Amino acid sequence: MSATTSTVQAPIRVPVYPLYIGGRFVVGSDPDVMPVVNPATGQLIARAARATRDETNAAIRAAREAFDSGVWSGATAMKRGSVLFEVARRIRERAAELARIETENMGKPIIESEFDVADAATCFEYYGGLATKITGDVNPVPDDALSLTLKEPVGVCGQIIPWNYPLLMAAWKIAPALCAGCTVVLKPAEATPATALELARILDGIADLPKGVVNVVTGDGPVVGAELASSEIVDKVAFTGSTRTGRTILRAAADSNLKRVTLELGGKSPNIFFADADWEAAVEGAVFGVFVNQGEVCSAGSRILVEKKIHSKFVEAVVEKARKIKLGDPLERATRMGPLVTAAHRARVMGYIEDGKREGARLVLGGKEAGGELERGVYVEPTVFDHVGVGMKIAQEEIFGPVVSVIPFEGEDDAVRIGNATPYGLAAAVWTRDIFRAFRIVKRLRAGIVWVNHMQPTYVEAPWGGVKMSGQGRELGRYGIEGYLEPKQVHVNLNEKPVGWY
Amino acid sequence: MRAERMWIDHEHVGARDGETLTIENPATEEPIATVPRARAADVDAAVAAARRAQPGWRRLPGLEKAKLLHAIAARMRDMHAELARTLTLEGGKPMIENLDELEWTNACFDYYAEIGRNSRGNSIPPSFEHQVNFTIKEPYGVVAVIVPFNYPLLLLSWKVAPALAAGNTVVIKPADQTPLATLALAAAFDVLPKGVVNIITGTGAEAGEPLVVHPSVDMIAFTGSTATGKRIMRLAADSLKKVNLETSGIDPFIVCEDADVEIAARGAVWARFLNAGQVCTSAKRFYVVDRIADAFTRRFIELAREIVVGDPLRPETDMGPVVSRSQLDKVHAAIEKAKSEGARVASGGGRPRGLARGHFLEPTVLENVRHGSSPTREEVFGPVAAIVRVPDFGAAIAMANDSDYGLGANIYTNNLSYVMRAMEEVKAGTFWVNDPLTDNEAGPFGGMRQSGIGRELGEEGLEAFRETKHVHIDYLMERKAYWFPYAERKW
Repeated sequence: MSATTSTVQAPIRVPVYPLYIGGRFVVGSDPDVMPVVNPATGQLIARAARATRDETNAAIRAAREAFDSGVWSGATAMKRGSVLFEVARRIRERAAELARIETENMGKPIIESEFDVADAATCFEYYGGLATKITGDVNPVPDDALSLTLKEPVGVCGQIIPWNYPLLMAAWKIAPALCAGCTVVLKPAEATPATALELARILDGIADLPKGVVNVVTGDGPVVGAELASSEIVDKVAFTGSTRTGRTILRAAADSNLKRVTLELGGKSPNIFFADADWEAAVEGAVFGVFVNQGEVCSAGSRILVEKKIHSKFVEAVVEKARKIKLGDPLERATRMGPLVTAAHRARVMGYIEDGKREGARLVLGGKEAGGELERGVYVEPTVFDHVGVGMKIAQEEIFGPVVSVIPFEGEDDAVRIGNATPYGLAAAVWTRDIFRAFRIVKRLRAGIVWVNHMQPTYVEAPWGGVKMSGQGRELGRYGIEGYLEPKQVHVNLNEKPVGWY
Repeated sequence: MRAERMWIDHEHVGARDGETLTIENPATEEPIATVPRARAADVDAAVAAARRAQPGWRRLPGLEKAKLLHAIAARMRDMHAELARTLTLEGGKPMIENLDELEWTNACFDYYAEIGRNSRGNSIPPSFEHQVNFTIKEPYGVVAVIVPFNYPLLLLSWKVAPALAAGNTVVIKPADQTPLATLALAAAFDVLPKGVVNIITGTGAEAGEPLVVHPSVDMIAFTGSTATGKRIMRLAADSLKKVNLETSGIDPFIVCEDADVEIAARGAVWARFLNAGQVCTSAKRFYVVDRIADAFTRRFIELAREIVVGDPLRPETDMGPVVSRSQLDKVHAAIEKAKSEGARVASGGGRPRGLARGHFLEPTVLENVRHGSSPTREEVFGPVAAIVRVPDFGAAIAMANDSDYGLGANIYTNNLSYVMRAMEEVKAGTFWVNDPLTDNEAGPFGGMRQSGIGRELGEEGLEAFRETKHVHIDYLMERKAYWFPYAERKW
């Protein structure tokens, strides 16, 4: 962050985003506001409040009061659903503007931002529809009784989201929480608060959404995030981000009020290619799987596992295709890769590239910061390492940038062994035209999401999340709502006679 | 010769008028037992017993029902040698297939014992905060269970186990050719309260129809021919009885050019000649892609000729007789009709050598069958395979779908995109890839189009035997604003 802020000229007049607490937009009390920088140009585009502990707690209290009053949890499912549909409608109405803000703040190509905005609206619509379909069970107890399981909202939810899909991650968090009847304190990532705060404006304009149900607090992780995770009156924290921070949150939850925690964390997902796969689709799938969104994707196919007999030809084709990826101004429609999110993040990615070279992997494409007119942005060229060892750092750790590690394999057992040989288990993909093999591999891979002959398609209707150190719990689909619900068992005795125990 | 009796309200009884039917062994054509020939008065007695037992059975806690269903399975296991022998004598199916049938039958009772006690209904979101809404699942009441001859106990279990788990009581009518193993089950159903299960024997016209139209029967669960299924549905329509029908099929079996010929041919031969071809999901139409059609057909014929036809009690027998003389006559007529339409009998077609008595037919392979001719349109319930050569996969799909039926379908291929396309496009209640004709208690079974209505097995197989009651509770005792007088309401 510091490297980027040093390029900022002090007197530039840019919008200042306030905090959104209890239905009011509040100017933060800390004079050290957070710069919001366009990573493609290094220019300051806005400032955002840096919330203090007190301000964070004010937001938590507002959410607590809103929840305890029953104004939202007691609203009918139909009403909650209609509010979510209205959010979606207003997002679509402002789609072009939101996409532009997303790209300016985060650096992803504009056409990707446009998809993200549409997906965010779709997410609100899906959970809007699901509100009236939250069902529990009537339990078949053997006694003369009626036993019900009612589903109730879990309560106040702290939601901490990353910078790679700022608006979409806000939607993945807020939509199911509101669907369930929860109230929310959302903390956007430090570097990318813009669209979440625009979303706050949209929510504020909806009269049927009571004040205090959604609060948005920008600031530093160790302050805002830590308050949410350690609060005694927050009932649940949902987090998407690094495994390291996820672990800190789990500890804080354990040390405070045993709040519920769902985590969607890092990955080192294998993208596995067999010789019989459709060649063109496979090559494109390998490139798209890891370089979409500059590789800043939790489910990035950052390890290409390729069958030995096609290995060299496949790497050649991948390099050829990746070399042609158009880096550039992310607002240009032809651009297919933008800058990384911050200079600090780029430094981290470059560090991994150095690690790869030092450990003896063969660099066959990229490996450098982009030069020429892209120099003022924080660009890294699409980078391909070949002959990567399974235990190397670049095959084990999440780089979260445009860097892919190619590992050759011999046969299915080898593919599965390498595929599973990281601490992570978010996603995986396998490319083959052999149905037996496809399902054999699907069943043996330890991952929360497995694609066959594709990588990255994500549907709000289907569960999303990881096994092993990639997280716990699931988002999206019907599974996504369960993380915001508590079952309440109700037992109604139908036998009027005394128990007769004493 | 044994004189068996029916089982009504836990009593072994004969028909009111004392008449009987004679049951023969289809492998020897010898009579082996008599059973009562029930008519309307006997049906009345059985339905009345089921009706009396139903309220008490419904109220029995799920856990108790589960224990009793497990106990039925346990008793059947104790009786399995005797039951398998009886099934073999009356139906002609090889002993080993009957032992398999019993294993699946027991598994079905165990499955529904547990699923039945694990589901009661849902709580659902209320319209207003001061309301509680939920659904509870209730049994229909008395269920008529009508079972065919090919799998007398298995197809009984698919109906009786979920029906009982859901809280219904039942009256079972086995096929008139094969009632003996079913009657023997009285010793297993004996663990139940009186009247929960009743078994009557007789013909479709004399016992089946009075059961179907009986005013105290709430639902009919039937497996059999489409013609009989239609008749049952018409009869049930008068009182809007619920029906669950599993009827005929002319299942297609597609062999793609990339299939392993040896494995596909072995799978295909088993899929057609299992139980002498008398399975509702027997593969009946083989669509073989031209490029491997010669190799596949050659191997199919070789394997069909290797099938050991004979006494179903002998362990080396692969295939027994068909169930009856009239059934055999129908199959012969179907072969003649196919020949007249241009099919060539490439193998079989006659009585196997050395088998002078019994309703035996050689495994028969029809080649040069034209899609649209009778073996692809009319169900042949016997050991007759019709092989149709097709130019490519697309044509195979089109022909597979060109049918009034939609029970099962099979495909042999290793190609992922073929599988996915066929899975989406072929109309069939069950779609088997590289593993024909297997069942899974958890997998719903039934037909599309004229192959049936509803599903058996799995959770859907339980739902088939119960209906939903929505309970709406408002705990605010208030006069509602939307009641009369409307003068107080604004437009």
